[in-house]
Amino acid sequence: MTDGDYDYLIKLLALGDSGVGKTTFLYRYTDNKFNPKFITTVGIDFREKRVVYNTQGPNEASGKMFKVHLQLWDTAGQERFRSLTTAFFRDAMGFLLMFDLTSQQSFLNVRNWMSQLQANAYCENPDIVLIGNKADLPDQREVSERQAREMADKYSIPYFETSAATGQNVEKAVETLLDLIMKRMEQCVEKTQVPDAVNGGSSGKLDGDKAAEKRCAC
Amino acid sequence: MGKKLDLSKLTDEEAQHVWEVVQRDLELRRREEERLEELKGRIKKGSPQRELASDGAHLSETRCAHCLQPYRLLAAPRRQCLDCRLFACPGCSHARPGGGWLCHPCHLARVLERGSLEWFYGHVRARFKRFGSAKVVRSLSARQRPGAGPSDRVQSSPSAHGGPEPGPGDGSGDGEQRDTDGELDPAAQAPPLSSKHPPCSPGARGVWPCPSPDPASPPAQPAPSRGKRLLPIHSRDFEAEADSDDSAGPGSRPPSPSSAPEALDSLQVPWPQALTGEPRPEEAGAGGSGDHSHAEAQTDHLWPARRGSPAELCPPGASRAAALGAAASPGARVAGSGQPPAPHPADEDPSDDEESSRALGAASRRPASESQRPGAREPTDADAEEETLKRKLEELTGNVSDPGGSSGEEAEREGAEPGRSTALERPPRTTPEVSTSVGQAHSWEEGPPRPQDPTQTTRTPNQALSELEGRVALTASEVQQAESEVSDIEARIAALRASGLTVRPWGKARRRSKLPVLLPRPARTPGPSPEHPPAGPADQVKVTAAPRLLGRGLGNSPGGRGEDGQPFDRKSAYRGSLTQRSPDGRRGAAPRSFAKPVMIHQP
Repeated sequence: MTDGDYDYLIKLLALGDSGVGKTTFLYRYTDNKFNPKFITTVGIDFREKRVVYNTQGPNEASGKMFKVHLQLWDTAGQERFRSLTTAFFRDAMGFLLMFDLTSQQSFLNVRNWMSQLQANAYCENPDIVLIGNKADLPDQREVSERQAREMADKYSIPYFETSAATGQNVEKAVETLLDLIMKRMEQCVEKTQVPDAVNGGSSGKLDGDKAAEKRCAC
Repeated sequence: MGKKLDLSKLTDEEAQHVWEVVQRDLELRRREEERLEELKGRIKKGSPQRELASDGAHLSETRCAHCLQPYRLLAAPRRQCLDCRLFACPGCSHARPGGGWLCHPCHLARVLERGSLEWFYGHVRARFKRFGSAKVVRSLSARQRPGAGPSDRVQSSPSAHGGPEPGPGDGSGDGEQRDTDGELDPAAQAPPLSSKHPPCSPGARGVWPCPSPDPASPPAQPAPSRGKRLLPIHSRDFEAEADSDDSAGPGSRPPSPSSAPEALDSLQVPWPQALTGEPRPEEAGAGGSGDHSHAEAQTDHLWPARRGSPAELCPPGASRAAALGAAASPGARVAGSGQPPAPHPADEDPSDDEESSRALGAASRRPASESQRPGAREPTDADAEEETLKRKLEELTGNVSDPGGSSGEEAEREGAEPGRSTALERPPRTTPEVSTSVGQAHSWEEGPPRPQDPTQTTRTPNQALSELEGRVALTASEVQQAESEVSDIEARIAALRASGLTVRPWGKARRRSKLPVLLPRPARTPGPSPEHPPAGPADQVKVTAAPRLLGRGLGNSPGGRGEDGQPFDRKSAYRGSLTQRSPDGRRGAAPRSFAKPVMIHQP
């Protein structure tokens, strides 16, 4: 796990209000276990996981395999750690922005978290997925899926309803985020190399355009 | 550091936990760096056959450039690499998702480029001075030394650094240093107030870690440290992932400001010395030039570590040490002229016997700390002033920016700067920057002889004068730029007024009026040069000054050079942030930021 046998070190970060389940979400993802006890995160922490990422080329179905080492930052949701946690936003390439489906307030705060991200992440429009956690508690639910999807659409980010308790959608959410990052990476590298490589290929150009739309400034 | 990281609220256990987490992160970064090193090594290996093939044109026509197997029409058709244009057989090439092929080495090169995630780190560098863990480590270690006043810090840093100070060209960043630098570095730079140097970042990758600034350090030495840090940390510290061909080798880890800061800090100390010596009228000039010699010594000192190949450039050891000694001693003389550099507490630098050059460095250091002691009150004055300035600034930036954590960081970071610049250390501030960046070349070529070289001292005043004129011109154009911005703002205000809003413009007049102060100060330095040996290096530095200034560009410099009072600085710092952000536009477009104050000032 700690050896250097991987192709990419990708750093993700989970953020959101206190108690939405960031730690349990990550614990579920890395160890596939669930700990129902609430232990508030002290400032920051991170977990690691090695995954294999399959690229699906735009044209070719045959994907390449990459070994990706994930560093998953877990942050404290509590306000008192705020300045500490935001300092780590810059260290992540992608963000799991979580709220609690059973807490309207945590959902409303998503907006604040978004602006925190814009201010403190490596760029203004980093890759983010919106995650409504605790989907396994339908009777306590306070946030409708429609509401959440609207929010996600507003920011043009994917939305997932997950449950760290059951594992529902947990992997999918992370993989989606990883996919976004890898695509962005592709675009950025492609873009810098197009001038050199005379023949960037038509799809490369498409990528470039997409990147421009996303205001990827690299 | 940008946003002040206030960890004082953490309990000890919490701080301990955070510390451990951060250490884990640093370890992960180190491994990543090793991995990339290895990858680079692999890419280099591929080259011999390739050269062979690319040399003989006809060879590459018939054989794969990499395995040198002949092509066969169907079984092994040749494929041209998109990057290097050489042909390779299927076994040595990789299909690109978008069509086309890449030969193996080029493929690896691309993998490396991606794997290094330069696209990401480039952004981070452009936007922040250091990564999160580095920032936290800094704050934590500052916290571990509570009660260390600014002057204490100054004194403590040399001793702390005596040990791990890297010899010339040593790879730096071995495991041991690594652990310590986390603490050392901050120890010296701990002061939470950062004076971010907006000029130094945009674009220039080297600058990113330009942690120089924030360490801001006690008010007495902001400028020097800033200038110095620019160089070293960047190569070692944060660039590691991307390119670490400089000697660093697999051993060095990303957050290892190790060699740099230590060398820096040890040399940093002389600055305050010169400063505290300055109050004496007759010494003021000499003090200034003493500074320069130190700056020189410093660059001498730093470069080997940074380049990792000092041997090519100058005979290691002896001559270098000589250079150092020569450079350092005048400074010491200057500082000690009032107070003989007599007994120095032995405990201050326990390890100064380790290496001749270091000993010399230490020698120059001592007078520094000595004169620093009497001058202890100085920082407090400056602190107070700085506090008030900061408060003012916060008021103002509060108007222009979101109160939220977001832009606060920038505002504060740059805000700290004006406060600093008003403290009395203006003259050293400009010169060290110069000396570190440009002076290095000189110091290598002619390092040893220079300090004593009399011919240079004689011809320098004129040169210095012309340099100064150049600088004045530059500054003037900066002022113009600033003024045009002001008028732009005024235009906006007028527009707003016209639309029925009232706006209270603050301090425009003051802002302009204070500028000219810049002139007299630097002009003083050349004066004493004929009589004072130290002036030699000083003037050298001057000579190199112009290119440096030019290089930094107008847009960059405002925060750094506003000799004038706070209002101008504040303004320019603000502008700096806008320009710095431009790629990402984090601060948003001008209209947005201006809109807010208007709302606030609305009656």
